[in-house]
Amino acid sequence: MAGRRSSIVTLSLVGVPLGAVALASAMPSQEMRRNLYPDRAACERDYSPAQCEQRSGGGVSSGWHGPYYYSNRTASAAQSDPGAGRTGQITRIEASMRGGFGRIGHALHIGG
Amino acid sequence: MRREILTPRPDWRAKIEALGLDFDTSEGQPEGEPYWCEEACYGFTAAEVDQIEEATDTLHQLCLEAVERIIAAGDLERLDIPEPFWPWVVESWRRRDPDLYGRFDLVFDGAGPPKMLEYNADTPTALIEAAVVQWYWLEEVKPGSDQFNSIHEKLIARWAELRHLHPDTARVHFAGVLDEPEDLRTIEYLRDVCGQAGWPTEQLDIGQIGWNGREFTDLAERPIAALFKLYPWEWLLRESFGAHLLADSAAFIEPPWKMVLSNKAILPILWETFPGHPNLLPAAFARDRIAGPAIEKPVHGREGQGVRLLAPSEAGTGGCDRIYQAASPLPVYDGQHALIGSWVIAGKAAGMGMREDRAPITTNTSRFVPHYFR
Repeated sequence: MAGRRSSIVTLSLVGVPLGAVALASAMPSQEMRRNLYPDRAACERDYSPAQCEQRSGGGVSSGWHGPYYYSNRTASAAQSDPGAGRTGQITRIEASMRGGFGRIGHALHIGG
Repeated sequence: MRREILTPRPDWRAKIEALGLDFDTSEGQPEGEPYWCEEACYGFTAAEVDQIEEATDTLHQLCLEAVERIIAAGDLERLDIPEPFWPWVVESWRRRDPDLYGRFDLVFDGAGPPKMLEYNADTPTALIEAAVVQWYWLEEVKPGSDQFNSIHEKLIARWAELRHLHPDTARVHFAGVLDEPEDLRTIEYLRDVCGQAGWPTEQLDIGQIGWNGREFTDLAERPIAALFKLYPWEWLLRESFGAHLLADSAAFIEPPWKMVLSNKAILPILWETFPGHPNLLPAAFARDRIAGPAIEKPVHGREGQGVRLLAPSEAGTGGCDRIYQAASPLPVYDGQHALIGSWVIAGKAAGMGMREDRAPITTNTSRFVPHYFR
């Protein structure tokens, strides 16, 4: 029609029950790490084949990543992660920080 | 412009919940007054809608001119933007990083010109009810009438344009405070229209965003190349990852230059730049520059938080984090103060939503009331 309203309004994602959505809920800032190995065999000495993946964006020589684990090995969440590996035959350790955004928003929400 | 009393649809609650309006921000309102109100509606003439649309387009253009002048004059300090971020904001404006949307709050009684109360240019909400829920209400309750509301299809069109502008970006990440139901639903809706534009999406809580030393990352450690953030810029800048924003590694929606407009300090700057403009209210950084009653607003306040009505001789709180705007009372219908939220998508007026409250200041608990025009 020639009016000033949308001609049709269809939705597909909206309406999933709120309780069905997994939330982070004020995740604290924390460092995650993963090991980069020179080759697949070195990675599989520490982890299962399913936990090793070729580094994306590079060739065979770029190495293999092990799974993420918590830097703080005394954290309770670290009890159930894959661990830091044992053999030490790694090219380097890569770190990833999380929880650096959201403190203000979550604090205001919690505070009502 | 008038308020009409109506009998609500018997199953209205189930219908609005099915459309995603299953959160209720009406806490603090009298019992039995839910956020969505269809016991009444607002009726407009086509000429009144023309006025609102024209004022919205005009105000957006004034705002863009004000941004240009602020940046050209190196005047970002007055906006309480931390100095390390100034070059980044300037570069975002110089590139004209594309934006998605915003919402003007207007005072309008059908007689004089609509006047700008503020511009929610960064994280506007009350979107689903304006774009979707009132559209379905109109279809069922006033099928022969029109509504100033093409928000939904304009959002899809804008996402398609944004996708075209970022051809190498496989997906858009959407982040916000996901345990806040209204924010979650707003993000879901915007993901929906983005998906309808053909651009895949991912969703994560703002606290789940990672930093790998070069780029922000999602939970699969994929770089975030385009981030829609339902989270105010003034908070992002001041949190521990704030400094990483300067790596400029992602396209942000809304873009960094929008923080110039989402800041109440834009109100006195607009008045200084365009004094006497019919769509603006007098505004100043000092209380004594506003004669008569005034509204005191925190520079970074949201949804009516910290807003105070000052009597003609009443002093303000003072300080650089407050601005003062000449009081322009909202029109009152059946004891309800009515406010127009006028949406801007891709820089053009796209529709409106009505809010009303018994109190003179609109907050996030104020009720949403559908509208139509003939």
